[in-house]
Amino acid sequence: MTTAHPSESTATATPHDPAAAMLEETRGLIDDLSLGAVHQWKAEHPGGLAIGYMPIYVPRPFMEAMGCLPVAVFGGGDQTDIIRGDSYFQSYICHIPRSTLELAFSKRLDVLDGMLFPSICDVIRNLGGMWQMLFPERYSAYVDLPQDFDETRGGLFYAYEIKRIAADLVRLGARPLTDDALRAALAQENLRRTALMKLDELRRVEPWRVRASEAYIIARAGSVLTTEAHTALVNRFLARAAERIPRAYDNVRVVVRGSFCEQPPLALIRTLEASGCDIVDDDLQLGLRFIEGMFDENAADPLMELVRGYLRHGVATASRYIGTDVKGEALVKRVQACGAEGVIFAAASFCDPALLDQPMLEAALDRAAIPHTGLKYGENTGQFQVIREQAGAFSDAVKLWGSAA
Amino acid sequence: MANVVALGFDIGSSTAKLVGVTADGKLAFHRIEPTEPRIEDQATRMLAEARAALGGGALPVVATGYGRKLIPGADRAVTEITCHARGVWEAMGTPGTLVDVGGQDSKVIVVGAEGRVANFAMNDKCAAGTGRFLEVTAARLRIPIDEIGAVSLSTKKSVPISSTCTVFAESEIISLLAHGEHVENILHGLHRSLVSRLVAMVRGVQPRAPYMLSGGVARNGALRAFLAESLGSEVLVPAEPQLMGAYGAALLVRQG
Repeated sequence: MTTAHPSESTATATPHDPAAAMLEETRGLIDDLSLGAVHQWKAEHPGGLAIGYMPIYVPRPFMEAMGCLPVAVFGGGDQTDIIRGDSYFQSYICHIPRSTLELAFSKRLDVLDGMLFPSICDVIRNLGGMWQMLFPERYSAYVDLPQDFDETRGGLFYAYEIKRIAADLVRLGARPLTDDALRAALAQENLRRTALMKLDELRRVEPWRVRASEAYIIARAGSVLTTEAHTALVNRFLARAAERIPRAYDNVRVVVRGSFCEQPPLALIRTLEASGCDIVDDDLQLGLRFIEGMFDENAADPLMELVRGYLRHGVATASRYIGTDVKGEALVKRVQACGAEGVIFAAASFCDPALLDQPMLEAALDRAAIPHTGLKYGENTGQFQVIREQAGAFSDAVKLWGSAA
Repeated sequence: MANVVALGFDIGSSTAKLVGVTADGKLAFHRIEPTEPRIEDQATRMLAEARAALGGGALPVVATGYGRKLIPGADRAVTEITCHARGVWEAMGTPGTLVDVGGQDSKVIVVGAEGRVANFAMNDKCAAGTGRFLEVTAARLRIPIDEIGAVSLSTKKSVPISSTCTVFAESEIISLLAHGEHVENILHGLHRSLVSRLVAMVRGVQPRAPYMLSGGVARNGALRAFLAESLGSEVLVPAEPQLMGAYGAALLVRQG
């Protein structure tokens, strides 16, 4: 057995951690449900539009090219008491739509000049419809991401969708979308992708240096920052993390799947880590990593480049209708590529896309003899004992026997 | 005791259990104490006393229980679920379904080959269905905890206890006493109530026979009898049911 270091290690952060202060400050950004960073951006950019959007993915670069600030809205997390939001959704619906409504009712989303509802699932589509009825004075739009990935059909439709929303934003006061501005936005997005890939690589190779919970904080800060500002933040964190002193422990390496929309509380991610799991890959904050690879920032038609990114290089996730075999194979490859020893399915309760795909993904893992376990959460989950024991027992089993059961 | 090669330390909410095993996996040493508020100090002292009693040599330690991260010098921390499964498999020599009733929570663990955890469920949200549930009611009825099982079995009449919360159940008991209900009937009903919660958990884990019972509560004859009756199957109890977590922890020193 490995000795000297308990398997259930504590987080990397120490009183002398060179990244601690930055993490604390960045945590403030993601905890601020009143969107102080967005208020600040608007103060610095008079007339600039802040456009909120729901998970998983919207093509942010076109909005940035129009001088807008895209703002990712992930609901109220574990910090919001749901008072009115519950009256709009049945008990068997996930939590994020009710807490998002609650944020709106409590005027914390008033700083946003509009809201986009991408086609994740029926719940978010219904939320978009409710939004139009509840807040008719505010701009909102449904972003119909195509499920036909042929460029001449789905691609043209998707380009039309982007142009339609761009025209709406112009009417709200945004500057028109131009090819040059979009190329510049794609270039900025490439820089962010590069920084995020470095962050992902670092926690795969040296998980002691960057814990998943820390990478999550840094990535999620992009919800309220411009791409350029977020890239700078990620790079600053990478520099701080490089100064950390190595620590060894015998955690198991796991991939977490199913958390792409409603986000788990940070405490849940930390609970998994404290249970002896190094999360070396996950689909938290998937929107920022939805397009695999880089855009051609010199493309003759940058709008179609943005479209092609989605059509051809979108990740294999539940909201893409690409066949469960494809998704299963993609997950197995991902697990193998990052040297993971198992998979934890962590899905929001009542998340249809995640939970409907899960049995097929589990079957793919079983065929590849990859251990897995599954848990469900709500964004406001506050009890972690069972999850701690479950993840701990999974970690123990993989360490002791090389499989989950 | 000199041939002990590894220690397992289970710090539970009620008791601290320290076990030593021999090279061939025999339970050769143990100590049990009520858990103290300062777990680190207690663990340090108990480990020092054990090492002195075992000849003074350094021995590897695996920690488990809710206080597992607070044991200074432990080589590894492992979940109670893993340790109980491993311990009971070694003690009973068979896969099966283990019901562990601890002081603070209760668990049902499907034990697979080699003592691996095949599935589990646990009650963690309140004291209902735990040893604490019985402790509270025993104290209220002024009957020693060691005797409540026998008292329950002394009657055939069971007074239904409808409350699923320990606090409300205590209020319900007070009310029943005020109405002149006999203590043994109340205790009978309480045991039935606890068993019904345990059986509900058992049903949820795709159990496999034989059924086994561990934790200090396993010494309670009424609980064992009612559980067997509800499951329609014999319930096996290891010789040292309270030590299965610590025993499994000690066995895991040599593994992984």
